Amino acid sequence: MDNEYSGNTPEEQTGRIIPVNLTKEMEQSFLDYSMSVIVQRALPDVRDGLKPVHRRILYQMYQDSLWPESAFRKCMDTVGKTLASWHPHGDAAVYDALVRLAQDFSMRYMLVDGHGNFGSVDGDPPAAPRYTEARMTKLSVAMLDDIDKDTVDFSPNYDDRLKEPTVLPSHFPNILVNGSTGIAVGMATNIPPHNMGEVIDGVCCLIDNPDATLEDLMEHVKGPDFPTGGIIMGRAGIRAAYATGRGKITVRARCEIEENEKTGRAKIIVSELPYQVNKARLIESIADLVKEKRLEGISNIDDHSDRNGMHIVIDVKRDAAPQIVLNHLYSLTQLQITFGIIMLAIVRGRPEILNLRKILEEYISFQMDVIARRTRFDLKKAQDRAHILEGLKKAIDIVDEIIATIRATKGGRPEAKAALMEKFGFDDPQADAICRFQLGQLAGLEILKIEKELSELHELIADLNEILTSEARRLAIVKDEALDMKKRFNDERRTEIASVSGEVDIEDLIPVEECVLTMTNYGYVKRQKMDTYRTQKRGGRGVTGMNRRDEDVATELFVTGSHDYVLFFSSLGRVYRLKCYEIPEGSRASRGMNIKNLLPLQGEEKVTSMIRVDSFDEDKYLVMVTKRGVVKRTKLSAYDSARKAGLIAIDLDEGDALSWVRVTSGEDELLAATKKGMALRFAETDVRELSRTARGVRVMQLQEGDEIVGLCVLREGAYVLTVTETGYGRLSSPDNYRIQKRGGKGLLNYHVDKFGDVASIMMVGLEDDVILISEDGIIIRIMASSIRVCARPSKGVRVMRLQEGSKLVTLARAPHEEGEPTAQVEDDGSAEEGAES
Amino acid sequence: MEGDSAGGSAKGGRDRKFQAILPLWGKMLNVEKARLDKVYGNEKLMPVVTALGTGIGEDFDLSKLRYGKVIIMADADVDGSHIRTLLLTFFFRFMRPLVEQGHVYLAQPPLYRITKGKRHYYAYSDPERDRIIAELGGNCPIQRYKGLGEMDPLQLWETTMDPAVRIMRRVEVEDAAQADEIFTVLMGDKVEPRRDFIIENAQKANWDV
Repeated sequence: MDNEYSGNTPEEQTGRIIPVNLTKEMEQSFLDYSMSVIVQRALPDVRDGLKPVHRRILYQMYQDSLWPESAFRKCMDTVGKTLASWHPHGDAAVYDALVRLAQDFSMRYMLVDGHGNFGSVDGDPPAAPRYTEARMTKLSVAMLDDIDKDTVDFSPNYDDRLKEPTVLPSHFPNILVNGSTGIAVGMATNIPPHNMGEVIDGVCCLIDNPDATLEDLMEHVKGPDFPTGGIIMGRAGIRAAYATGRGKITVRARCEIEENEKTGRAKIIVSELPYQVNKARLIESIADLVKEKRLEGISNIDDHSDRNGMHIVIDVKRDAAPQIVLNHLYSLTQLQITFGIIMLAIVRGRPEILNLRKILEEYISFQMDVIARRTRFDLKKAQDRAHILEGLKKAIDIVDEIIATIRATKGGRPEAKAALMEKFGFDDPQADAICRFQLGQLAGLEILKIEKELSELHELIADLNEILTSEARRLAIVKDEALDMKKRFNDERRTEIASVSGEVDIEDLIPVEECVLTMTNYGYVKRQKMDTYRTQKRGGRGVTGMNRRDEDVATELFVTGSHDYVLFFSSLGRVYRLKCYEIPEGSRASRGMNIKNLLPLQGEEKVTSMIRVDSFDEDKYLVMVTKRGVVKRTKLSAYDSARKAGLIAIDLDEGDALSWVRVTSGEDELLAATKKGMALRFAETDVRELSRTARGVRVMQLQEGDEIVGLCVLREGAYVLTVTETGYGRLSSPDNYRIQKRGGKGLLNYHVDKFGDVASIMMVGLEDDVILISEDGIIIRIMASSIRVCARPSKGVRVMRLQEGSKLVTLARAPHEEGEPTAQVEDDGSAEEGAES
Repeated sequence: MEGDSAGGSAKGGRDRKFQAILPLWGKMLNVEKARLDKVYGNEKLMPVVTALGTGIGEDFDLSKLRYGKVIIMADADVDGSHIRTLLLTFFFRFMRPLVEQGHVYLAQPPLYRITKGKRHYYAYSDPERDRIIAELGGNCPIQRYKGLGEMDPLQLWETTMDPAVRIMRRVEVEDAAQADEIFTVLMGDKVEPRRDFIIENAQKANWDV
């Protein structure tokens, strides 16, 4: 055995005991370990966003030419070679790292294309590396592009056998695009993934304007974008992270409350989870909470997720309010998480907490360096080639002499070369090329080719030299190449960033603009920008076609500022408040969001009025009327509260419902109408001002079985429209109703015994359209001006023809829409019938 | 002895008359951060207690120590350094007299083997390696030891365990209060003092791959 131990020097052959101070030993060992973990293991490099293990895996795949179009290779092969060549650590760690690069729920943009079982959001483990296969993605090829052009530094591997890249050229800002997570010693990093296009736009913004402010950058980089989607609640945390490198954001699952109209039971459907939440464990924890009775109102939970996507169904008990159950789920489970952003990365060998601007600056300066090095490499190559061609060109000019010289050589090719060099002054590469020159290339066309190539090379060399001397050129190249990456790899943002009221910051970020808010008869709300609304109006979804069934139509519609408050009054006498921008924006075609997703409504609770409030002025009032005839007037300012759970708007009697709420000026007059054909016009001052939680007073005396069906604030130039369940309608001038004392019986508005019960009343202008909705879901739109104006209590005209057994139930006013109304009023001349003489 | 992969060579390479080997696999508990019951129930630390025979904490009795020298033999890499700090923490916190009386030693395996012809030379540090290479006139293959497991039993004996040639470092406590403080900073549950220490002393670190 040739393993004889020789010792180093004779005196070192005896054993030695060196005393070592415990404190020093601890300090040194600990520093060695922690610095190594910090710099070379757990934290990513700011330039390529990779930890050493990932960089080594990708470089190994590159060496093995595992291109996106090549055949897959067993992961075991890549893991083994990575270990053997670069990464002297455990094999499991390398495989885990490789697997992560291929998981579509871990990586915003995958760097490894995996084939086989690479694990799941349920935390299922990947198959063993002997089963799974992998190759590079187009993106990781782009990451390694130009690595052979001396663009980055290489260092010896652990056994000095090979050279490995210390960083990859990474032609996109991977540190932000894919993010990074790592726990080192005494410090940790947690950089969320981002959208490729947004980050590259941020890079370009900073290139174009080096003085760009955080606000400028955030115009482009809007916030993290997780592969798993979800919703980030609010912008304050994002801003903090981008400004300082640290910030906390709240991420919610995408949940939708689905109500079964028939059974009245609600389901919560979860279709996206916060980043890095284990679905199986989440469901288990919800089930446990239900079992322990810490979470009430849930009857069942099922995971219906399949290859088409995530679909968790949480059944809400009949007596529970789905929004409240959902809020509990958010606070108790991982349906809502806090993501603590710490943008820590290695910068020139040292860990550093970086803000958004610094990360982008570091990236740009790195790319500038890569471009410069690549240009130098290309320049060298072009110069070498030009040099050879110049030699050839010269040789062709004196080809006879050259041939004579070579023929005169007695020895082999080396002698011929030497002779050429000596006699004509060629250098080695030139002489070498001349010796390899083929006779066929002496043909005229071939010579022209050489000359053409040479002149092209001279142009290229000039260009490359200019790039090297011009920083502006290099910056432009960085920008162009980044934009090219964007073109190739950008995709839609997956994570929504939702506005949350009460955040100081966000108000500044949301433009003040006019919005159109609508609420439909099925309780869906939607916000549209005024300008979008205008342009989409013609030929839009409006009720311009024929009579339709089961159509959802806006029964409440108004224009308001995006920063104004909207109050929602419910049948149970509660009021909820949202800022207009908190209502999700929807296109003309979209249905909007069920109001139950926005407000914590109880089971049967319905929003009956939606009111815009631009300010809680002291001189404005709310007048509300219940079905059973209670009226209350309260200062609007009494409702100025941000309570999420809502406020009591009026103290209701058992079985009564709050149905109408109107904003008044303090001097308005109102008209209340009943089903059985009575109406009472009264001054609002006749209703004394009461506190917010008071019950109110009687608006009018109702006979047995009668109820209030409408309330309107009278205004000049408009008419009172009365419609009946039987489909008759009549416009009357407000003057037709004389003012009376509140609490009386009122005046006769309609002969209900002859023509049917009153369905509703409303103030309409002759320029408006009127939308009528029947019990069986038919909706029609007519022009208000086509309805006959006549005195109460005459019958009016037929405004809607109804199916047998159906009733007209609701009406709404809408701005006049171009095009034909969907129905015509049938005026048979009997409109004046029943009028008082 | 760190690691199962090296335990075998150490057992094979020892002189059974006066050397006993206890392989410890992986990273043991950081006792500075753990609750007491976790320490007593720890499956990696209890064999150490049993092997030394002294008991721990208040029950510690140095007179029952079964071996004169307790030698920590860890890989010559940064993870070896980490394991050393974890074990020293355990000894200092639960068997302090063992450390104070100088029974704890750190083995020093070689970092490099330099081959010239048929002869091998071992280097225990980078300067030593460079000196040997210079003496040998360069051009000699160098094997870098990553772990004790790379050595066969005889090599391990010759380089690290043979009392006649081995280099060992004896742990001495010069200032108990200072030592106490450094354990608290480096191994304790507060992150900030540790981070401050690392940032302040970063340039003193030696690390490798």
